[in-house]
Amino acid sequence: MEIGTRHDDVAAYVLGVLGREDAEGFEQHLARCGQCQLELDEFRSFTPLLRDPSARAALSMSARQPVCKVTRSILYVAAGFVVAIAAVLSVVQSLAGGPGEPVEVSSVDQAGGIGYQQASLFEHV
Amino acid sequence: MGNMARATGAHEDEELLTLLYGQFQRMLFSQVLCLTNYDRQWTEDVVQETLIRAWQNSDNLVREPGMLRGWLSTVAKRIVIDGWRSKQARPQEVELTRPDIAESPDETDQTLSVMVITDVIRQLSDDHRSAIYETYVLGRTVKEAAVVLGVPEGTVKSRLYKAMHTIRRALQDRS
Ligand SMILES: [Zn+2]
Repeated sequence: MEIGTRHDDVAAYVLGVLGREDAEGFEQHLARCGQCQLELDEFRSFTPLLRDPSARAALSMSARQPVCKVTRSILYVAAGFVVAIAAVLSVVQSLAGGPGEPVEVSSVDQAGGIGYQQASLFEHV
Repeated sequence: MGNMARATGAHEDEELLTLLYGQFQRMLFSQVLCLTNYDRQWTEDVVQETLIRAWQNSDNLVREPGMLRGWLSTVAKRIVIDGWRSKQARPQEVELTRPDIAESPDETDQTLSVMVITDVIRQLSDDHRSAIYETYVLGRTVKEAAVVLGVPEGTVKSRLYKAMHTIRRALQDRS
């Protein structure tokens, strides 16, 4: 048993990210290693703080780029939808009468339907 | 599994069994119940597995009650986390709040500590920070994160260790 390499596992263990087999191996080591018992207690005193939103945000600073690109293109498509729906709604509203009059539910439904068509056209452009 | 010759005698084995099932079974049950969303069957399974693990490690285990209690509840939490992970993998299961091996800290000085820890995280190297992010934050195991990061498992483990070390030292320095 390589005791030397096992000590390092304490961090992954506290974070709960060791696979099952590794974790069981470490527990065997933990049962008789005073150093790891001590570090386990020290590490776990602050581990829950890593879950705080601001800590998570700081941790994601070095997250890989491709994820951001995908998110951005989704945002573009979403923005397209909003623009299309807003345009259609304003047309429907002017057809329905003055600005003070409430838009009926049925016309909103219709608007939603048209908005969808508009949006798919939008994507082809 | 280490099938070393038992240094302990039959008497000591019996003593450990009495300790485990007499003293710790109920304590574990109530501890684990909070972590499993009060799922009694799951809790029962976790407690049994924990006690079996203790029995399998009886050659190594320190019999001092405080130490034994610490080891048992740590192992029980880990088993819940493993169970949680496999439940998450099955989409039809209800979403659970993932437990930590760690305890929840006191609310009082939490705000300050969060500020300090956020500051420390920003000062970590990219390698150390992404090791925590790809494992703990995204809920991946070391093995899975190693594939994503394109480094050996041992590298992820030692980055995590160094990162946690740095955070601990920084927190100690500022308090
Ligand atoms: Zn150790």
